[in-house]
Amino acid sequence: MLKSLLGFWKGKDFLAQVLGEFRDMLDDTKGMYQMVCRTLLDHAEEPDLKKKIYEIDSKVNSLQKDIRTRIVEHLSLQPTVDVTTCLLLMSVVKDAERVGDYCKNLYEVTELLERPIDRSLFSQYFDDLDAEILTLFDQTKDAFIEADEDKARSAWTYEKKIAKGCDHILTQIAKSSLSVNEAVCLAMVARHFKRIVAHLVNIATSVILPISELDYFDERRDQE
Amino acid sequence: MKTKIGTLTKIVLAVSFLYFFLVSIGLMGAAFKGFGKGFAENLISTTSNPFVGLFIGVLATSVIQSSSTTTSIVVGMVGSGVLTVGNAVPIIMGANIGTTVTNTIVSLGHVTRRDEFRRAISAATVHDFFNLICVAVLFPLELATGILQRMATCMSGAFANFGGVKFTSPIKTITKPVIDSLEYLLIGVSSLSNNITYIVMLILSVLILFFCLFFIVKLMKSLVVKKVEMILDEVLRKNALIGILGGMIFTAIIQSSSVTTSLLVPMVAAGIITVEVAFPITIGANIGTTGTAILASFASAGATGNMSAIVIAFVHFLFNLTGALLIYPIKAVRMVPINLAKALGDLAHRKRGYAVVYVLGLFFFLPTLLILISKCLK
Repeated sequence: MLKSLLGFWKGKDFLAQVLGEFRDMLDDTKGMYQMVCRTLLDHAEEPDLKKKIYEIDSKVNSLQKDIRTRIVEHLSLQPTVDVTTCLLLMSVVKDAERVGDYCKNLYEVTELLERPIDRSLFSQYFDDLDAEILTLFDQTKDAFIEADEDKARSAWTYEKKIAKGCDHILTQIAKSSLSVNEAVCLAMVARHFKRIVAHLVNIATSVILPISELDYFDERRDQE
Repeated sequence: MKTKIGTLTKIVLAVSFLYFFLVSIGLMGAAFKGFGKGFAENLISTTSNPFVGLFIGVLATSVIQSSSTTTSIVVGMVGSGVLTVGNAVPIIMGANIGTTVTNTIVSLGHVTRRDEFRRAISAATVHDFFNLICVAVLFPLELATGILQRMATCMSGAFANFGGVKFTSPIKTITKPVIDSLEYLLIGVSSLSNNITYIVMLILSVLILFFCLFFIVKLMKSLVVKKVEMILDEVLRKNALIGILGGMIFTAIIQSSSVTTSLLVPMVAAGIITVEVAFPITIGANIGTTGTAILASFASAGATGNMSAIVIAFVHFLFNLTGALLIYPIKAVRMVPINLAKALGDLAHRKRGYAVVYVLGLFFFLPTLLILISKCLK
């Protein structure tokens, strides 16, 4: 009770609370991505990886629900305050939640593999894409939380390169003489990477796009 | 800095409106007194039928959508002696029912989405059913025993003995110069006849009261809503007692139960809280809203020296408190208004027109019809 009363005076306001939770979502998904990549490509031993990944994913989902709840509460109390921010957050939390799902899907690839992927084989197709995506997580967080338009534009440019790269990888894999298991798994990795990047860029570009054009950064980019 | 100046301005404005609200109560008392004995006798005879009083309370509050206004006017009337406490009690109970119309109207805004509408109607009408049950139980009990009035008299007596009269004195001291000046302007300076002067005074006092209450609610809401948002999770998701306390404190600050209960409707409609969670907050709002009448009663008693104003304000408080104590603690009893509200929600979900029929019927047609029938029978 005392804590509640103190919270009344010292508590964070709506935006600070929601942005804090959203930052947690991005940090958690980045953590998932790092753990999965380490296991998938560097063959790191991560005890209880499956349990950890599923727990973090569940936490990310809860954060998404919390943010949505806070938004409805906020708009019920102050229907005219921060309306655009609320709509934007409703959209980007979905993207962050999807990133979590794709990280979980990446983990599932590790379970499908008959033998670990060799880093040199991976690099042959992906170069150091996994590290670049890791950087994109930070770039996205900075762009969104600090409303940094330069970082948002940089993410936008970067997505085009990765999307094309992933499509190219798929073509190469299709033409390769890899085993079925390796080919399927690498193709799935390429697909999941592409989707993770697309959702991260959705979040980053929400800083520069009008609310009506959220998620359609590619159309806007082509126009510009 | 800008925010601090804005907040300070709002506080100054809210205090100013509160001051003029108290002035309006004093001025109203003076106007009623000026109408003389004949007016008082006529009004007392009109409201002597408790059922008529009850429906007047429902209808008047439904039309102006503010129980604070109705109860403050009633307090002013009782304080000036044109209405007896006994006659005012049913009006106060009726005002409690009438005030629930606002959030029910708010819930109609969800009409386009059936499921949402069902939840919104349930959230809004749980307040209606709670007050209807309270009236169904306490109205006949009060008629038979006068228990609320006796308890309120006891409370106000004790209050007076412990310095209650002295406590009202500062209000009288600070409002008297303005009330006297307005009276002097209207009676001393204008060349209007006595009766017209008092009618003008009454209209002016009611207008000031409306205006001040409207802006007090607006300003106080804007001042506290951000803070409330910070602790909303604690209020919504802890226990019912915190919900009741939260609803009570928030409503006492903003002086409008309609605002509190209307804020809950979209949250229930969106499915983020249930009717069961909203219910204790609604009960708290019902108790918190009695603060306005208590405040008005201090102004009225201070101006006229009539403790009856405080008695009727306490009747209002005791009625809502007793209702909460009767209905909330026992789960089976608590579920009665909740289930009735849910049943109405289901009905409105099947045929949305029922919701409109319910609002118009309960709050407007039925009280008007019953007042007319009572008049005809008389």
